[in-house]
Order: sequence, then C-alpha cells, then structure tokens
Amino acid sequence: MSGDDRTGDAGTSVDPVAPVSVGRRVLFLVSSAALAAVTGATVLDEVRPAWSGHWLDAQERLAVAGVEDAEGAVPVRVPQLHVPALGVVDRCGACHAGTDRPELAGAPAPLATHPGPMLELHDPEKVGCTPCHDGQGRATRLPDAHGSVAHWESPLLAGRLVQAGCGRCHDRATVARAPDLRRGVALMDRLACFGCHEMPGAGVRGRVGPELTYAADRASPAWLLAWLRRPADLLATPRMADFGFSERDAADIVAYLLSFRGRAGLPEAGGALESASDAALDRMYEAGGKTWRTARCVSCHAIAGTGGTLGPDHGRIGEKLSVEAIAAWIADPERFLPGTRMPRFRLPEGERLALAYHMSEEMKDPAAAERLAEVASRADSLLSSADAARGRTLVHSLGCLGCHAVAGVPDARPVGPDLTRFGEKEVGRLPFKAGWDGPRTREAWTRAKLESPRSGGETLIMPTSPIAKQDLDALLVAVLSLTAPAPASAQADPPRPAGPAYPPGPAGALVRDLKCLTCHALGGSGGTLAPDLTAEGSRVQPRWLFDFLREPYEIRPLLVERMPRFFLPDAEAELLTTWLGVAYARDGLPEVPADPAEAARGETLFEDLRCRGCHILGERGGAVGPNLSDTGRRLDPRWTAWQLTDPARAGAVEPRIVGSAEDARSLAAFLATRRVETAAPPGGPEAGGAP
Amino acid sequence: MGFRQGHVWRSIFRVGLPSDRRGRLRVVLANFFLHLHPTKVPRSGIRLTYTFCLGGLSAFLFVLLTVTGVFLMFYYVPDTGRAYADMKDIGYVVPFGRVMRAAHRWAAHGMVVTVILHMTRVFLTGSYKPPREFNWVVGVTLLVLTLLLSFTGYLLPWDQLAYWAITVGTNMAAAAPVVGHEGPFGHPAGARVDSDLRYLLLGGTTVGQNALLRFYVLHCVALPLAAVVLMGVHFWRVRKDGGISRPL
Repeated sequence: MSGDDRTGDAGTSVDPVAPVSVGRRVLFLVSSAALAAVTGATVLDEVRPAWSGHWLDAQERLAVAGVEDAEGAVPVRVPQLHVPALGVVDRCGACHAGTDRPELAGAPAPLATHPGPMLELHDPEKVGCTPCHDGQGRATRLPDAHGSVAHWESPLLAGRLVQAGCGRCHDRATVARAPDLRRGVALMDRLACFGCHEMPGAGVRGRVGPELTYAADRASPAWLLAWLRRPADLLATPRMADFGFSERDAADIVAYLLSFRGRAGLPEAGGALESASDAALDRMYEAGGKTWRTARCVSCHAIAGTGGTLGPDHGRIGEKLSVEAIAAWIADPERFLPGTRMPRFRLPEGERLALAYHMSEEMKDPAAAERLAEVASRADSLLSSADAARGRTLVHSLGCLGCHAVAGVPDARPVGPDLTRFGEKEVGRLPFKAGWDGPRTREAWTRAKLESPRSGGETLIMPTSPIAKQDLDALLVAVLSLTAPAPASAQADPPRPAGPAYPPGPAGALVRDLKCLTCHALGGSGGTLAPDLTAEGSRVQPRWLFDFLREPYEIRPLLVERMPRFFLPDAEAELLTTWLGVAYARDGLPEVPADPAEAARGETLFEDLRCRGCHILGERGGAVGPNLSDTGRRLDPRWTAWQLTDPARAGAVEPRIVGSAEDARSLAAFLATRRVETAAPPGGPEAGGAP
Repeated sequence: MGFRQGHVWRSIFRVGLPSDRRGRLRVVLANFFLHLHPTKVPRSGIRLTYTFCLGGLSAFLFVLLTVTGVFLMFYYVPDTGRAYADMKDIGYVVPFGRVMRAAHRWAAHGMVVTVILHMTRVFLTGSYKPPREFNWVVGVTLLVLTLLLSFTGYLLPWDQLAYWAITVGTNMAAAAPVVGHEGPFGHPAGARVDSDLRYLLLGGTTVGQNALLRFYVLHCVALPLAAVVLMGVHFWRVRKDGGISRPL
C-alpha cells in the first residue's frame, strides 16, 4: 500500500478530483459519437432494410401505372413463401416485389414480373422459389441469396442453368420448357456417359457400341488402329469418344481384338463378289442404291451429316466394314449389338448383298484411302510387337466395357464416379486441380471438366468428345440437374419405365424385331419420335394400316425420321394389323354418319378454321401437321371427331380450335370423304396389294 | 429531500443518504447491489494502466452475453431440423436479431480475450500471491468455464463449421487419457466407445440431436450458473483479500 493512500484514508475530507485532460475528453466524445452512430445505423437498418427500397420503388411504379392505393397493394414487408411439404421458406419476394404484379411487367430487375407463364404453371404458394432456382431462400440480402456462400451447396442456378431445376419434378428428357435440359440429356445419351457413370438415363441404357468380339472380323486392323488413335479422323461425328490412345496403346488393343478373330463366322472378305462380272456389279450397285432409298435408311443414318441421328453417320461406313460384314449386320443386327435400335429388315439375301455392295462402294471418303493405306502399311510391324495382354488390360480398365460387350466377360462396374446425385455433390469434395484460380463452384468445376476432362491430373481417364459451345451449356445443365428428386407429392410426370415393355406373344416378338418402340410408344413405354400406337386400332383403318406397313409413305412432310420400309411379308403385316386392331383400340368414340350435308358443312369449317395453315389437303397447305389428302382411307372418322374436340388428349400438338362436338363430327365426316384417287398411294411407286 | 427520508426510499435502500465517511460505508455494506463495490477506492486503484479494467471488462461482457443470449433463446430451438434455419432467421427477419447475434458472437470472442489478458495481468503483477492464492484458483476455473461456454456455443448454429469443430473437439475427448476410449490407458480403465467422455458429451458417438441438446443445455443453463456462482465467489474474495491489487 502506498503512503499516499494511507494519507487519503486517514484524512477527513475527500480529495478534489484531478482535472481530466483534454485528450481524454476528446477520446470520450469521439467514442461516444461512434457508439451513437453505430446504434443509429443499426436502428435505421431495422426500420428501412436494404430490400425495402424495392418495395417503395414498386409502390411508386404502381401509382404511376394508375393502381389505386399502391401502398396498400404492396405494403413494405418480406413476403415469405412457406411450403412445408417441400421444406421451403423463401423470402425472395423481399426484393422481387413484383413477380406476381402484371402492372410491373416492364420494370427492371428485381421488380419485373416472372417471365413466361411459369407462375401460372407453378403456383408459388405451393412450390416456392428455391425448388426450381436454388439459392438461399431465407436470406434477405443479395450476396447471401444469390452469391456463392461457403458451404451453401445449392447456390442460385443463374441464367439458363435454372433448367437444371426442372428435372426434380419433371421428366428430364421431355420437359417442355427446358430446351437446354432436354438437349443436354439427349446429348448425355448420345455421348454414352452412362457407359462409365451411374446415372438416371434419358431412356436408352446399356451397351451402345458393337460387340468387340467380332470387331476384328468386321473391320480391318488398319481401320481399327486409325479409329482408336482418333475417331474424328474417320467420322465427323463419332459417337465413340477420343481416349487419346498412343500408337502403342492402339496396337495393343487391336492385338487383343485380333485374338477373337474368326468368332463371327463371316465369309472371306470379297468372296461373295469375286465371281461377279463388272456388269453384274453395276446392277448390284444400282439395286442397292434403290433399296437404300426405299428402305429409308437415311431416316436414321445420316450421310456426312445429312439425315437422321438415331443411328451412326454412315458417310464412311465403306471404309470400315467389308461387304460381307455389312450384309451380315443387316441380316441380324442383334447378333453384333444386342439391344440395338436397328430393325431387322426383311430383305432377301441377294438384295442385302446388293445394298451392302452399294454402301461399301458409295459411302467412303476417297481422300482418306491414302491415310488408311499408310496405316495399313505399318500395321503388320506395329502388331508384330504388340502386347495383347496389355491391350486387354486397357480395354478392361478404361471403361470400354461400359459400351462394348466382349464374349465371356461379365458386365463390369462402371469405371467412373457415380453421378446419380452429382448436382448436389459438396463443392468441397470436387477435386479442383492445383493452382485453380477460377471460382470454386460446382458449375465452374463441371464446365472445366467437360471442356477438358483430363486436365485435372495424370491419372484421369475420362475421354474427350468434341462438344460445341452451346452443347457444352446444355450438357452442363443436364449434369447439374442430377439431384435427388423432389418429394413424390411434387412429381409432375410418372416415372419413366427402365426400358421398353414388350407385349407377349408372336406380335410382341415382331415389335421387338422391328424395333417399333424406338420411335413409337405402346401402352406407356417406348419412343416419342412417332405417333403413340396405344390406340392405333381405333385411329386408322385396318386396310390402310396393312398397306402402310408394307409400303410406308410420307405423311408429315417436315420430318427427317420417316417410317422405314421393312419389306414385311404379308403374313407379318397382317399379324400386326390384326393385333393392333384388336388389342390397341379405344372405347367410347362418337359415331360419325356418312352424311353428304354434314361433309359439306365440314368442308366450310375446314376453310373457316384455317386448317390448311398446318395441313396439306390436295394441292395446298402447311407442312406442320400430317397431310390430310388421304384421310378417307387412313383415319377412322370416329377417331377424327373424338380427337378434334380435344387434340391434347390424343397426344397431338394441335391447338384446340374446334369449338363443339358437332363441328368436330362435321369435319370428321368431311375428312372421311378425302381420298387420293389413284391406283397407287402417294409416295410409293408400287400399288399396295390387298391382304 | 423528504422523499429520500421517506418510507419508500428507506424500504429499498435501508439507509439514508450518507453525509460522512461512515455513512458512505454503510450505504455500500447495507445494499445488495452495491456491496460488491468496495467501500472506498484508493486513487491508485483507478489508474487504468495498472489493471486495464480487464476483470471488469470480462464481467461486463458476461452480462452482455447473458442479455443477448436470453434474446437469442427466444428464437432458437435446439432441434437439428430447424436450428440452422432459426439461426438464419435471427439474422434475416427477427427484429434486431442480426445485431443481437453479432453482439453475442463478438462478446464471446472478446470475453475469451479479456479473461486471458486478465489472467496475464494478474500473473505479471504477482497478484496471485498470498493472500490471493485461492482467488487465483477460482479465476483459473472461471477461465475454463469461459472456454467451455465458447465451445458449447460453437455447436449451436448447426452449420458445417460448428459440426466439424465439435466433431474434432469431442474426438479429442475420445483421445484423452483414461477417460477417452482411444486415449492412453483408456481401454484398461474401462473406457469404451459407448462409455467414455466423448459419449458423455455427445450423448452418442457422433454429433447429432443428443449432442445439440446437451450442448444447448450446458451453454444456456449449467455453465452460466456455475460461472455466476464462481464469479460471486471471485468478486467477494477480491474484497476479502484486500481489494484489487495495487502498485506497491
């Protein structure tokens, strides 16, 4: 204890307080002022939060737009959407004050109304915002709601990426208003991502490449070597990705493939044509070309980019396959690629050979012959030192077996990571490469991966496919859409069956053999390219169906994918016609009497309702809808009347134009009188035979 | 003047306004709230640069934490399904919630700092020496309580940081000697994965609903109560041991 204190303690009077220095007074004043300022700012932020300015702006705009009591119409508050079923609490309305006010349609963001008819289709009260858009719904501050928040694993899907959200409740392959998602899903299918990655597919699953067991029998070693090195050298749009194989890798793999040589049991290449004279070959070339056209091969196989996309581009098939290999494939595609989409055409052997000869001669690039010859000249020396065992290891470890079968090798597990829930994979678990300087987001990582799959490290094996910029965006949408589905109560589309469900019996076997379900749906499963056949028995007339199966012709002028001509024998066409008529019909169709007065009224209606805008009838008309010139032979008028009253229920895109059931009946009666009055049906030179 | 001599004043303050040194002493001694205060303060005791007010600051922060903590308790439910959302809601839509939570968080960080600095100051000025050695022990216990309060509060936001910090922290408990099943002598001492210190802390083997509830109760009830009692003892002993230590 100090002496001073003792003195103070002992004294009877209180010591005068020492004067406070000016510096301390200033310090006190400044700190008090700072405290007051912070307190004031806090109170102000409560009373007028940042988002409230948008509401005042909205009120002002509404007042200008002539809305009475604008302040009452949009009182300043956080409009919270609470959807317990989806676990949603969204306060996006804190700034997006005008999403449901049509008066604000032209206002700048964030006040503008929600674009498109989305809010009519998705009631915000039942859906909220974040189930589609992601982002932090509870947040009322822009960087928190929209920005990249650490550990917020579902950041806002900006721009076109929002389509990734559609897949949670809708069928990703068919959702109407998400074109990028649809395209991306189709692209994933075409690139066969599912060969190496577990993921919910768009429909087509399983082996998509031909069996490797027969590869060395069907293609020459030189072609295989060149193909493995760079598929794009041999085909503009190869489905197989570029694995970046070195010459040695390719030689080892080809050596492995050559170890299966002889399994296909194909006749010696060139053997079938050896004895044929030049004139006979010319005739074969001509006949084959005609078959190529009448069978409508181009519906599925493009030639150098022109044509359908269901099958591979055949512009250079002649370089790959021998005549015998092509003919053997046409005779039985399932043998070389189980589950293929290619139908088994009922061509006699001679026509098959002619078609194969035509393809082999016609479909090749003369400029590539030199390069292939160069590879061929080195093939022997390359293969003599090749290591087939190493080739086998490559084939097994790089995921080749995801797309190609090899006889005797069981299905392997996918070699790539499971992508079933990739769209919600924690960003912290994505292997950003060392020195990554971009944003650490799922979107940025995925884009980089798709652009350059192996840039992340030496051990990465994902192959590259040439992807155009807009395709990359679509692919990104599709990949990011791989999330857990929304609760069952929110699902908009019924779950898609895993594969086509084939009916039992001989008709079902025929449907399987002709691959009808690649394009047509039947009883809820199958493709969407061509009309649903579930009510075909009521839709068309049996006689017409029989003729059409034997000799298909063009009904929708705009389509690339047309019904192929299978060269069906009468018995098979009759079986299909009878079966579809009996098993796939619809009850409760209205009766349409053949009354000339009714038909005349229908004709007037046909012109008044501008049906010709989309449909050809006789000479003139639009090309969007089916040609109606031959409806008298084609359609059952009862079906026509039923479908016209509500086209959507028949799965048609046709707008609902016909007002009443009477009008529909009149139109059906009129259309029933339309026939093409020639001996031959349009599109086919030969007349359809009677059953 | 009459009011201060009247019945109401005396019923609350028990004594009248002091007019002399003895009277002032009676006011302090006779009042529950004032009796923590010294009856007289030596001039050297208010010199800022000797104590830096560190003990007082710690006590002030504890009061601030109590007030803001009670506010937060009104809006927070320790349920794994909604704890994180409640924390977000406090920040986004509860009136003054953001400033309350921010104050609570910063005060918690600050209290750890001031308590440690306070202990450093006490050590450097030798104020732990007799007769203050028991109060040093009480103070060290308060430091541990402060750290435990911080640790238990860390889990409550129920975000990634919280989850993994508590996972790491309680795994350290599992690796503690004797009482942790992975620690030295843990197994011979009978500690198993479902009967060791970590299990006691978490109410399970992983951070889950039980852990959240336990940490909440510890954070809001048990640890503050213990701290209040020990702080009472601490302040009382400051007076009994001769007031705050002063420069010699």
